[in-house]
Amino acid sequence: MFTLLSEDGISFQAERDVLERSVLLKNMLEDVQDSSNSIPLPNVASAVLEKVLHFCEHHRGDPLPVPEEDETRMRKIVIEDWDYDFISANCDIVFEIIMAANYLDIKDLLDLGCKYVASLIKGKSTEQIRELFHIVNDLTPEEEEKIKKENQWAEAV
Amino acid sequence: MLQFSNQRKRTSWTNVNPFQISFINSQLRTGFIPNFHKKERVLALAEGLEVEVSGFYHEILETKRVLAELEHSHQLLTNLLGRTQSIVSPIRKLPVEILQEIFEHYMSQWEYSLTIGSLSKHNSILPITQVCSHWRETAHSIPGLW
Repeated sequence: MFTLLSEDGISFQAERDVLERSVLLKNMLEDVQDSSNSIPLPNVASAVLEKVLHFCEHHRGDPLPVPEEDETRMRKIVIEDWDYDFISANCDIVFEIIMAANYLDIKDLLDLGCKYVASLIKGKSTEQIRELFHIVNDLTPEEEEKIKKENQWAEAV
Repeated sequence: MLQFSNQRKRTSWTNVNPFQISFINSQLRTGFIPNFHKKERVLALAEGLEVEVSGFYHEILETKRVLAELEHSHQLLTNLLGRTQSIVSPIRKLPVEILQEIFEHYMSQWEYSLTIGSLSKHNSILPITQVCSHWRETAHSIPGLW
């Protein structure tokens, strides 16, 4: 068992095959023979680390995504039921999970988070997207003018 | 904070005596023609009413001015609230490459669901290019999306 230390100082224990879902931790563990020292993760809060480990435990033993399959991975739009339930139950911290997956290099979790956010955007208008993510329209009048022309062009197609 | 110092406290819509109101209403549909004294009283009543009507008119103008100020302040604060919330919005933390990946997934979902007669690829990407300058630049930086 290895111990991870979150940025807010909470310890989590997990087995090697769970941690090896993360490329970053896998590389770190190759150099660590003594499991008594905890591994600090200064960029991951405990609330997020707990969810990340839950995901990794569920997927322990699954084949790891290989880089050559990136294109295929991108095209595979179906989200498995367990994964969908997991990510939608944690939708309030989905961006933190994505950031943690990116930092820890957990490809399938990063992929899941991005697909989920993409599914939230799908079918929404620009204004609805702004409201959903608290984004302010900071476009310049020149950009607005370009957009107007783009829309006119799109309507004509 | 705006003050409402000019606002009068009203207990009734007019200061006119109810008996006078009742008298005016009852005489309207009759052939009543007031004699000199009664005419004087009616004219005095009309004068008092003119003052009241004018008072209402100015009060309405002042209330509209205060309302416009309140609406303006409300709009400014709403905009400031939106900008403040956007600074700490979780999506703001995402690096460009992850936002690109989200956009690519978004387009993959569209491509799979496109049917004849539905939105073209170009049309389906328009909403995300119009959200804000960062999203616009990010979407335009993905060659495969166009």
